[in-house]
Amino acid sequence: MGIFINNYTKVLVQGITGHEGRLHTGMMLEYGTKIMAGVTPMKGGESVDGVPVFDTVKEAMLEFAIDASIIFVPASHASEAILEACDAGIKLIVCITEGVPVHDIMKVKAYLKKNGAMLMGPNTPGITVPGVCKIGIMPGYIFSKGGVGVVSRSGTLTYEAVLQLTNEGIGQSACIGIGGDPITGLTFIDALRMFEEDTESKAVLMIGEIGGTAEEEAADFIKTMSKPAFAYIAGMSAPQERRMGHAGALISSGHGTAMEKIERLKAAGVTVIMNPARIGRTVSGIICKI
Amino acid sequence: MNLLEYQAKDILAKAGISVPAGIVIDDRMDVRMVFSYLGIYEGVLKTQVPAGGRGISGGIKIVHSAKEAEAAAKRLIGNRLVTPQTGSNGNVVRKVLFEEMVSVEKEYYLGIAVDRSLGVPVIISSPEGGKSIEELAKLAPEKIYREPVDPLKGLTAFRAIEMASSIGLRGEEAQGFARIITTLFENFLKLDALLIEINPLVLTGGRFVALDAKITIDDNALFRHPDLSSIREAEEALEREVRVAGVNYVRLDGDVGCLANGAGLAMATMDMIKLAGREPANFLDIGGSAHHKQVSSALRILFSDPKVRVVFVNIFGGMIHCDLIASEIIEAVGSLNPEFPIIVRLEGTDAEKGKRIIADSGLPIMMVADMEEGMERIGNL
Repeated sequence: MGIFINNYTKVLVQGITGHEGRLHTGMMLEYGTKIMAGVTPMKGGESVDGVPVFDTVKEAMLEFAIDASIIFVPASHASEAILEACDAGIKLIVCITEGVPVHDIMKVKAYLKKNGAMLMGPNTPGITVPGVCKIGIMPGYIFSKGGVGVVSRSGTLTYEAVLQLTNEGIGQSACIGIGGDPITGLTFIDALRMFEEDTESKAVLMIGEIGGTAEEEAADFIKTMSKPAFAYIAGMSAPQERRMGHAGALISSGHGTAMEKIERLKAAGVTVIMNPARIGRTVSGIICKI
Repeated sequence: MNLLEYQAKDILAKAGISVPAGIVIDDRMDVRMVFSYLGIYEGVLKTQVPAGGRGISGGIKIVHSAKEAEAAAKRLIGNRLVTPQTGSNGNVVRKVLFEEMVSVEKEYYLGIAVDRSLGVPVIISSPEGGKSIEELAKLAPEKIYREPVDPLKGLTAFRAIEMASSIGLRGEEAQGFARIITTLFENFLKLDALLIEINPLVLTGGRFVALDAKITIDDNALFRHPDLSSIREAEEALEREVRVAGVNYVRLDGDVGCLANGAGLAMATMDMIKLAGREPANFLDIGGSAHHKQVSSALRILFSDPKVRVVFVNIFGGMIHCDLIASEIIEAVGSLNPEFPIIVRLEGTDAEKGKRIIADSGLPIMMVADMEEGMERIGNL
């Protein structure tokens, strides 16, 4: 039960004493996430919402068996924080930080792969398994328990899609943000594979956007899946050669357009939703028929 | 950040890669004086704008005489150059690069980019330089060689030689090409580059010369390259305002101004406007955790666009609180008095508080419950 995380997942917060670290530690605890410890160098011995703070990940690991770490460390030090968590033996690392240099992530991704750890992000809102566990910054109230696995490259647009599902009475098995940067650890395919294997997930919804070829690669994988797939691709109206907010959202030399992605997804049998205001309605219309 | 050609060539030259002799002429110089001081009138004038497609857009001129050179330089400098990559407004040309002509025996392509799917640097080479790599990919994909590099291991000398020989080079020429690959890769890492491209890299008299160069630096890594930030070219007023405000803004051609928090939601909002039968005037993402200043700057940028006939603000508060947004909207509407309708959708953190603030203000702001209703309103206006 549970995608990547479950009721027993023990979580560490790196950068717990910063503004966002504190805020979201509180909100994750409220959601029921088992936050065992936090790390901020030089702040060892303090506590945040009753969670003990350590100087290093290693020290925290001596006290608790940590399964996953969430990172709120500033961009200039985020890659070091990821490596520290990996070296301490943590197998799931969720990097919320936005603006991490691409060269840092290339090295970190290769290193984690070699060491058998999984990186989610950077620039991700994290992962939520409704009613079970939340490692991230997604607002808890939008979720409801159910059978649609949601995976997305963005933050607030994901909240929009999930709320639309919930309002239509369609619950979610899990919601995963892979992150809006050009290179991310976990990919669409990794998430889709989990949903395909997960017995509670009955269908998948993928929220993609312009830039790169991650959606096309996902389309090829979806062809091999047994579960119905839905997708919305943001940026139909985006111009070429202009970065649309996310570092990865760029149509370059005519490639990475929404239309290319939509064609590939349709050819793979995916129900592509064209109107972002009707994501929930479209999914519910089809799922109720199944 | 895209470096200008002359800035990229300066970097290559300092690293020991040959570039044509040249001089930068800018809009503060007297063109006639420059040419008469040089005493050279034969060569190529290249506009320095951070966008490709200059050649087909009239931004590159070959000149043979004093008259031609002066006339061409005067025509280029100070004017806007529109290329397929600049958008319809184009870029103001402040500088041109005047370079010697180089006789070309053969043109090659050499570039290093980030492979997004593999998550590693990839070195791309081809014996068919001169065309854009996209064009080449269509015409002769079998002549493009892609070599991914393990970020943990780096580039080894023998792989550079292998690449040179795979594009048909032998002996000293192969060694020369391999040396350039190695130098380029070192600089790719050192500069935190997302792209370094030499196209064409030409063979002339047994040596390689970089006739054109393009370097893109990762904006997220500029904090460790203060030297590069200082070569940022003079920005237009709007670009500066956007950068200082810390928001993501792209001006477009439509008349429906829009604002959202988060890049995905901002794009979806644009898409929705288009589906309603209208055209978005812009992309504007205030980010996930915007503060007062960002929000008020973003609203000012939006309200002062003369094209805008209606504004749609679409907020899904996560980290950002809707009451903050509401207060800023009231402030901006009160002080700037826009004459067009303003439609606001607030969802998420403190949405109810935000809605009350707007209702209590008595200002003519139209509240909508969700994107669907916003879309209907925009379509009916």
